[in-house]
Amino acid sequence: MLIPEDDKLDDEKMINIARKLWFIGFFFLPWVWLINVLYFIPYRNSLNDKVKWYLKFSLIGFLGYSTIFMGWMGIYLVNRNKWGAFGDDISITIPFG
Amino acid sequence: MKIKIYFIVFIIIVLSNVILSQSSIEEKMYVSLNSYPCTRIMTLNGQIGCSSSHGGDSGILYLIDSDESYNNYFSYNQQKDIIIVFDSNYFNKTLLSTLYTKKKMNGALILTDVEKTYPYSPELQYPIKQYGLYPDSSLVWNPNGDGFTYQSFPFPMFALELETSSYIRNLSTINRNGKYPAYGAELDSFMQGAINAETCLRRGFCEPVGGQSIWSSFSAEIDQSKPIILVMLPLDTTAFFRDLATGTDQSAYALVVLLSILNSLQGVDKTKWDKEVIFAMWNSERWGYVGSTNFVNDLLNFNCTSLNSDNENSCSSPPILDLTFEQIKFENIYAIIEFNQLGRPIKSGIKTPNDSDIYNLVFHPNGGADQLMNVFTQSAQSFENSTIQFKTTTQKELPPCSSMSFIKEINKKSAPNFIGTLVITDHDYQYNNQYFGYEQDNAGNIDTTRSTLIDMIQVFSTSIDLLAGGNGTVKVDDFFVRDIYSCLTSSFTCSWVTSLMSTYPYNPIPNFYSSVYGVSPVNHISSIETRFVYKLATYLTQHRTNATNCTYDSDCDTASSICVSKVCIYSNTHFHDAISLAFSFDNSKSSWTIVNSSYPVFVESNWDYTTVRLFHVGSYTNEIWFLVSGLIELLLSVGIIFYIKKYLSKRYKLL
Repeated sequence: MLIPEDDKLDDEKMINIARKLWFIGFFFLPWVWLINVLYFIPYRNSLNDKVKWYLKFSLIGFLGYSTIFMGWMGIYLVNRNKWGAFGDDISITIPFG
Repeated sequence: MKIKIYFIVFIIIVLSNVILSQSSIEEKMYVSLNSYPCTRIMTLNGQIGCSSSHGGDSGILYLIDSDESYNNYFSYNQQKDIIIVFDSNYFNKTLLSTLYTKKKMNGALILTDVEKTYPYSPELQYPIKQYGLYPDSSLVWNPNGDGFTYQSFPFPMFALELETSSYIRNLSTINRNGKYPAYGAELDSFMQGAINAETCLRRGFCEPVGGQSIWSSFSAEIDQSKPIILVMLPLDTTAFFRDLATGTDQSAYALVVLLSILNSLQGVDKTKWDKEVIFAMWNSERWGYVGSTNFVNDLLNFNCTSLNSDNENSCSSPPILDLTFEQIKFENIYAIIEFNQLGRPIKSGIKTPNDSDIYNLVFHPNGGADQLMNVFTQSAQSFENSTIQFKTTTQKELPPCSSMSFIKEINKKSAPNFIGTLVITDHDYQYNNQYFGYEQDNAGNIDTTRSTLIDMIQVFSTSIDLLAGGNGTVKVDDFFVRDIYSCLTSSFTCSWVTSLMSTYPYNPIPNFYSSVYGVSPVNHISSIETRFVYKLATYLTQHRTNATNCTYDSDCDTASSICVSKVCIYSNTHFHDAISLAFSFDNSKSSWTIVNSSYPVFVESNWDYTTVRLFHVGSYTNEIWFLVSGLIELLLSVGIIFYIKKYLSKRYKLL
């Protein structure tokens, strides 16, 4: 799907790829949305509106998800010790020291 | 094709060279030193002790061995990262606190080649007051104490052994000339635990401080109709660097006395004894009378809900490996005699007929004890040349002692036969021990002669024999006393250790720090010192032997027997858990939890390893040259690789 040997992507293929990546991104995978955007940069002059729509919302989704994730990470790291047992329970590994 | 193979072989050779030379480079760069770390202990509200950062802390060595070098430290600017090397005279709470609050330090090495010239104790002025009998007391038993041990430090500290100390003293003196290469050290003692005891236990990075107490009796079985005389002492000791906790006056001297009493009473005719005598050595007492409190609690409240199916003498719920203590009835306790610090008695000024000094030992009675004092005093007077005499304390309160755990319960329950508690020490009020809880409480911290030690053992064992109902004819074995004295105070490598223990001590310095209890109630950790005392007590109180050609203790058929030179030795000597009642083991999470924080809470952090390594420190210009030449080398090799690649692909069309 993502092998660039197929240089002549027609519109239908592009929409297909953009839509697939757009859906995959919903599974807490914001980087896939970023890839979606980056992948189409070489074709930026020949995109149709539908693809553009997917890419726009992929970018928004990526930024939104990243903000939420990073915000949560900040809150977690700062409060991990304060939360006591709950903080340890939601941790996969607990660093020493 | 051939070229490709050559190329691969070439790469392999280069790589293996790199890997091999790496380890030899490390050997050339670093020298490891024998050292004793300051480790971390968590309390209910925080932590005490030291930890390095993950991976260690390093810096240039800076020696503080005079007021001048101490004051110069604040203006020292040869390097930013500094490991301070302390002459032991400059290592105390006041000096260290000022030092690290004013200027950054990365760690400390403490030399042990010179002894402190002034009295010092890193313990509290009233040790473990809150867990004793008088939590509101205003007495100061340990006037030299500054509580250094109970402080927390954000950097690593290590004590160095004797020979290493003078070596490091020389190197750090060389550093003073300000020339390069200078000497630096890397200190790694990263502790896994953090925050407080509750958090650390939950995460499984800590284990409760505790151990195994030992009790022993000459009777094969405790006769429950007879009154009980308890002869006891606190077994464990403390020091700032816990690997160096010999605590000679603190405990070890009294331990020598107690074990020698066992040896003396071994040959005594005990058929007339109308009382049971139980000898007990409580562990982890310095951490809140843990061993004695636990034993008293078990005597009064232990109730086994399900016996172990394999062994009727052990309980599976609540788990306890040895139930023999149930033969001891709390209400049968008739008298308590405790030997506390005995090694530094004061000279009375009176001399014996053969011109030896007479030393004063001090009675600290509680709840009567007149009868006990009379027997001891008479025993002392009955020897013509006795170099000890007894005085009664001027204090109304008992000094910190294990008996307090018993007295607390006796006061509540009133044991009908109880005639009193007698604590015998070398001090009336303030400790004569000038290094209480410090590394220097070692063999040199004793202020009596060998004959006084023999006299003490003679008087004590005679008195115990008389109190138990015997006629008071006891013979002390001088050789045993001499051997065991040097074994427990100077070097833990004596013939008794080699004959009784299957393992050899890793550290020849006798160390009675109680250490940690273990990972679960059935998985104990005991130090070699504790196991040795147990085995020696078993050996000395043996009532039966059986030549079975055994190799290990487990080859003998009961738990309380040991194997010594192919003979099984049976005795009524037992371990008893010494773990604070604050802890309970949660089987579902398989970790310790704190269930009652009114009891002492001390848990020790785990760690992987601790090391001190020496290395050379270069000057800044040198190091920048290294960096620049390294970068040039890198760029050159990248250029060469590109050139070769281009050349080869043109010539052979391979790559």
